[in-house]
Amino acid sequence: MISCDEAAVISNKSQYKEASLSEKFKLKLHILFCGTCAVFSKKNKQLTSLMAKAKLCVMSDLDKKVLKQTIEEQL
Amino acid sequence: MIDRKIAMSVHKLQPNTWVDAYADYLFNYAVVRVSDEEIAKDLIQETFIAGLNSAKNFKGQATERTWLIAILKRKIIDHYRKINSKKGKAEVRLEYNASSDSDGDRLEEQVADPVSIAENDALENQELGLAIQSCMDQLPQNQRQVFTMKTVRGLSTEDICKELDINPSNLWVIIHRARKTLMGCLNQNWFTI
Ligand SMILES: [Zn+2]
Repeated sequence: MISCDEAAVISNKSQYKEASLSEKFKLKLHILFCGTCAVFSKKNKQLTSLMAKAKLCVMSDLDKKVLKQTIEEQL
Repeated sequence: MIDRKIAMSVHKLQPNTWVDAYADYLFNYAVVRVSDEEIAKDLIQETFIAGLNSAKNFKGQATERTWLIAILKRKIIDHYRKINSKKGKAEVRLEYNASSDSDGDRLEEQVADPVSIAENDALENQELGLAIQSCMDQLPQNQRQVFTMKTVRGLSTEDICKELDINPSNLWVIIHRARKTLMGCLNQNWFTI
């Protein structure tokens, strides 16, 4: 049986489709016996769908650099 | 993070932290409303410049972010006013030929609420998006950076490790901390568990 730390890593990797089949199986097995990880895993999945729903966008580092320069010049 | 909390509590403007602290939040706010990333970027820049120019008007009752959002809102309305008045002038000119009593006041009436113009699915999720962004902005810098690269930009583990010179297990530790903090920061109402 894997540890809770290992279970968390697999749960996180699953959110980015980077967990292997055997890892996912180990996680499922762990969750059967560990309520804490079951809750974490479920919430983790929900966080992933919330992120997808929110469709966030970020400014590129370059754009931010330009903005910072603009502000500094005005200060 | 502690520094920022102190700064927020006395509500003093700190323009040299604006970009790191608020640019993504303002950007998401604007993108949903103008539906164009380039225009949104310009509006953020105008907002920061206007903020600097009117810094003396900052009374300190609002937080910096609330204050900047108020400026951004005006910039967005101005943006739509410009678009509408270009279109509006043509319409008025056409109408002028038909009936002589049309006047310029109608232009103002034609300026629609930008929110209703950009109404779409994205706007329904605006509240969620801003709640998440607000929580992300409070993450320690390295967690915020790695989480954003991985989750918002969708970069591969390999690329992130290469760019930041960390190994995959470092990456997963950082991702774990970030996700755990976000779960705690986001209002429980967003979750069904
Ligand atoms: Zn466990």
